[in-house]
Amino acid sequence: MTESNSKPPFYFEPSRQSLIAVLLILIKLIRILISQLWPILLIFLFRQKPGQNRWLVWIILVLGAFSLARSLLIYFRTRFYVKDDEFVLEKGGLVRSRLSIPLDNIQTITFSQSFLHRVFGVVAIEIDTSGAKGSEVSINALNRQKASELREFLLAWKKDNQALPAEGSLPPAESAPEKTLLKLGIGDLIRIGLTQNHLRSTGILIGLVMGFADDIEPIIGQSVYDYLNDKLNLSLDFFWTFALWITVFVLIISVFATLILTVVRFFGLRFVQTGEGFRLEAGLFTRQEQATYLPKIQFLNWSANPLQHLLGIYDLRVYQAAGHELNAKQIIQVPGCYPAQIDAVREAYTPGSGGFLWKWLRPHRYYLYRRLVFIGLLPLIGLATKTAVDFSWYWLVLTLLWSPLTFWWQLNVFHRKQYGLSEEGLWAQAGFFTFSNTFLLWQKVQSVDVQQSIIESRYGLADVIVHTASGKISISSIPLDAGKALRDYIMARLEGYLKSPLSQSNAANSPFLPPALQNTGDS
Amino acid sequence: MLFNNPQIPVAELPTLAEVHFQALPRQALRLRLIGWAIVQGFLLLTGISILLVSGLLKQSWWWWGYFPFWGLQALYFYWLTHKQYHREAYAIREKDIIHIRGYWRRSQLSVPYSRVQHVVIKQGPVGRYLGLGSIKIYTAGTMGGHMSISDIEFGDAERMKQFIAQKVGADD
Repeated sequence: MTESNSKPPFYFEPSRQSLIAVLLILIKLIRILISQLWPILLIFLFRQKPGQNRWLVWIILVLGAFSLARSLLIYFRTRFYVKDDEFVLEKGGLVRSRLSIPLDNIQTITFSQSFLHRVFGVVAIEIDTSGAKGSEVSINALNRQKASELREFLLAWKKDNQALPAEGSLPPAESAPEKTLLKLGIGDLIRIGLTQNHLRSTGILIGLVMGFADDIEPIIGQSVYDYLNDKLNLSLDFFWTFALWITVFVLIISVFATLILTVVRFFGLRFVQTGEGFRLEAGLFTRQEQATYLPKIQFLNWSANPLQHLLGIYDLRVYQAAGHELNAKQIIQVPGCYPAQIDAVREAYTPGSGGFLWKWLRPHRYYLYRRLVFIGLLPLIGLATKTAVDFSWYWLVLTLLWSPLTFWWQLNVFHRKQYGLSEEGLWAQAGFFTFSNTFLLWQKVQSVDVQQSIIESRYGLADVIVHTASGKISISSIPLDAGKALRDYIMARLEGYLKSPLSQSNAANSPFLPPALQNTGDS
Repeated sequence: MLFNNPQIPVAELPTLAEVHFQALPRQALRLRLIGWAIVQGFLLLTGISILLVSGLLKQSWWWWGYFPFWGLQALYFYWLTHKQYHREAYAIREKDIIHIRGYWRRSQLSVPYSRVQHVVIKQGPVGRYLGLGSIKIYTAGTMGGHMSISDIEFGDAERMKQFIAQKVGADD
């Protein structure tokens, strides 16, 4: 970093958040209180007797004062600074703690702005690390400009200190100018919203309603179904008769809900390629900025359901190194990408990937058999039993349709599943309704597991499971020889027996993959 | 570049075929059988105490069905413990470590030293008595990508930790 200013940057001195943080912490605390106590509050509101109102006011006042005191305490005790290549966060309300994170371990830096943040021109910062759970930093509010300075410093530090042979031979990323890869207008958003998986959101919506029904059970004092039955004379027969209509109704609602949620979440989306990696900005009310650093990207995934396929758009997911467990923050999701944008990201992730030679490998028929047994046969036994014991036309129709439907479905799943192997990485394709592509570089692999179930060993098959810092990828039911050869190849790459073949002049005509892999490719 | 090596013909790549695997010590089987005995004893006691406490003896003779069931699963796990013990092995190589395990589902996990984050060794009370310990090798990968070898000689575990620490240090 250039030190042209005489004053050192603020982050070398212990600094506090912006004063707005007090307000934001207060709101957060109150929100937590309400979300924990809302059933009790509801009871107070609905079952009040004269004289209880005063109690309620007192309780609210005490809780409010307590929250205010606590947020002031948190504000004054939260300080952060950079010292000795470590980012230090001192925090604490009642319990004080000091968290030091080596700058090298910082994985992602996320900015987010709620409506209030935007009014006051501040951002909330979250810094994720490769460490265990609970070692992530969150700063409630910081001046927009300071936040950018801090992020720039942290990312630049990583770039300057990139002495990570384990991460492989990436070319030094010169500070290229920012390039906007994707920008979504309102028309794009509507297109994306309409092409989401509505069946899934319908399921989630129904689940939410059921969950809510369970939640309010203690309040109305009886089961919701009984309640509807008693008060509104809606019997369960009513539900069955109109189940179809309800589903259609929920489907329509979920289409609209998804549309609105899509617009809210991805409004004004800008996907930018920076010198060090990518940055995603989006959001209508809460504006989020996720930044990632190229070496931290583990693998890419892009997928399209039939509707998206018609329009030629894909959902892109960039998986980054996660710590203890994977959470959504480590996945950058970019909806509505066209192939050109995916190529650009793939090219940044691994230069020259467009020219890789792929050897395609398919899972053995056993993969289909196993899935037919688990998805087709076992539920069928349950369905048939149910129909026999407790006959109804719904169950009979379902039982008769189950086998042909699952067979057709699984056959398509099987035919679309294939694994592309190249010297540099894996390209896995799978999925019938939602066709998905996963692209992984061998360098990103942490460990390799070759597994065989008892039946697979009879067929001479194996599953190869590659573990990365962002989850595992399975290569299922390939010949054992191929699996072992693949394992040996990946290990040789990780251990430095083999140099990256990208540097070889012409890999095209040299038999780069072990023979066992080449023979099994054409099936 | 760190290593200056010309391309090696694929046939010369190191494979696992010629690796000599190290089996677990005999004591490990004893330790696992002690664990089996504790769990099964607990299950048996639970069954007996249910019978005694609730006076079910008089009314529901079918509660006795618990005991054949208990016996079958105890035998199954006794058998499985042996099978798993004989299947399990590990190998330490120049650049990586390999662990074979599992009976119904066999697994061969390979972790290169260049991906190791940290190593933990552990010893429980019974393990201390038998001189056994466990080693867990963590990578940056998510769950399941870590290697955990249980019930090896504690001295071996310590030496392995030293060795891996050296290897990891040398790579940096």
